[in-house]
Amino acid sequence: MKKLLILAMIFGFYTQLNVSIQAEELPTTIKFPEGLHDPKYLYTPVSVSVLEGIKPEDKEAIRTILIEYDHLANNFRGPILNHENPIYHQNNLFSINEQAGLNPVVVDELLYDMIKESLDLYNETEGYFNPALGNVIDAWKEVILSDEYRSLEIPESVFTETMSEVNALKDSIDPDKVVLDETQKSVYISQTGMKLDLGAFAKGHAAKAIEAYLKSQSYEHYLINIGSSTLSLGTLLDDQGNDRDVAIGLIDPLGIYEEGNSGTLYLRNKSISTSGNYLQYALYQGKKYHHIISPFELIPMDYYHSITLVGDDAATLDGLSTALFNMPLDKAKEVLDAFNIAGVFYKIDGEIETYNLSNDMFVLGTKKPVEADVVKQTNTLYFILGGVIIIGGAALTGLTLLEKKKKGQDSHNEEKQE
Amino acid sequence: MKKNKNDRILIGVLLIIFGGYLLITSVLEKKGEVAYVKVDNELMFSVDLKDGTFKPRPNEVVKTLQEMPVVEEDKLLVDGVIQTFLAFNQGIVRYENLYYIMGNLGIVVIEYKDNQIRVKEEISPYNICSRQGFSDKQPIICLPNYVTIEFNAAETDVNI
Repeated sequence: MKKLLILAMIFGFYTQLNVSIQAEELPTTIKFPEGLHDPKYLYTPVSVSVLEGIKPEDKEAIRTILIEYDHLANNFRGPILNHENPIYHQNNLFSINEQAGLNPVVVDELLYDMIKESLDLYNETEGYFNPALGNVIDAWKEVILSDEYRSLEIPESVFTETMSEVNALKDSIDPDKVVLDETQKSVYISQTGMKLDLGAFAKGHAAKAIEAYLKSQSYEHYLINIGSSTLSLGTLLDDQGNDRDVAIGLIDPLGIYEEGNSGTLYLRNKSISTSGNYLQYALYQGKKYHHIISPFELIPMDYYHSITLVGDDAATLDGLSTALFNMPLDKAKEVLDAFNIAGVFYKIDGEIETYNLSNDMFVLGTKKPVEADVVKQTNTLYFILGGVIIIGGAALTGLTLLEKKKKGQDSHNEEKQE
Repeated sequence: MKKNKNDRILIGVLLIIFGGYLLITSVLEKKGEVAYVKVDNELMFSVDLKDGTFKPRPNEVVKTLQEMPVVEEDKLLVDGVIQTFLAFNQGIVRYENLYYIMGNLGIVVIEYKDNQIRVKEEISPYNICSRQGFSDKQPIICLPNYVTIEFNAAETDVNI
């Protein structure tokens, strides 16, 4: 019975359904938003699977973590004072940005630590991870994500306007202008017109916090998925109930690999973060302008279509996957070594390069033949060739047998005559 | 002389086996059994290619129509009335083996027919995915609309 139950749980996990096996059994997967009209946290869908089963109190603990990061890291709206949940009453990133050049803002320790870590990462990546790019990112997103231009061509006038807007911000993106007060837990942006943005950091922190909670409850078989961009994994179970790796399919933005995946990662007890240029972008004169902006050029770089990083700390991975997008591969590898992190790079030419990954962790996808028609043609060719060879073989065998029989009869006749 | 004949029979039999192998592999080309329709990298519904059985994700709103709706870019009209509950990555309208969902740029019409699936209509700059036609193996990718159709995607636990 127990074995059956485990099997059923695995099945439910595979199909990513909320299977409630029996009324008293616990669900193994929860999703946020739960229904069509429920709130979305961190502007992205979240799913958490735990093969041991998710108790109602686990679900609420996970929800609380998501709400904390959703509110504290939000730089588009401030505290909601009449909200039933007191978390929404706290000062958040919007409050800090609103007081830029005016006053320090006392914030929750969780947000204070996140900002402190983001400034550390700025120094450790020589400025490639820059949390003070808020206004530059907003200027680009206004174009890239607008209804008129998303996935389409940007008109020259709009492009020129955005470029001059962005270049005017060049002197207000210096994270050293952020003043932290450790005892007060306050954050002060000392320069007017500067805006902090933790969009490349908050999802990783949320995954890390949920993982810490699941571990505190002694769960081992889990998969946390924040917006299909940051994952934290334990192990899963095979049919015999033994621990097994989690198989993670990597997206193929150019659609040049078979089966829809450019490769598969096999990992356990790791975190993963991925960044890509394929969902949020617009075009200008044949170049893709996506949502990951270089802190030095203030425009998007085109070294890669996607980067996937594998390591132990989801928060660092999240920040680094954004930082590395703006670096050539040689430099990116140096950073991976410094942080002891592995990576899969889907380069701009569609080739894939892995770094610090052992062979048993990654299986590269098979590239499609250049034209889909070629497959059909070769198949038909094989079919005809197979037919011809069979007929040839049959004819050869048949004729030889016939000859043998005839000869046999002849020799028989000869014997009789003698 | 006799040996020669046996050799010829052996060669003949080998040729038949080899030819048979080529025939079988070319006929038994791997095909997908289930089409997974994903929006924004998240499964929205699946269609079984054997019999066209439709399975939406949990909690999805599905509206089945008795007559064919009219598509006008980002609007879906039934008897001249706009269907309001379709939003990006929310809601499915079904008429026979046609499925209407809202992509990033407008309505995407997906059709199941004869064990295959295709994107029949979509609003996008180059219409790459509707021009791809019916498929049961090669994934159909409508990047501008964030809609993809994949086959037998169950070999991985999660896709990112």
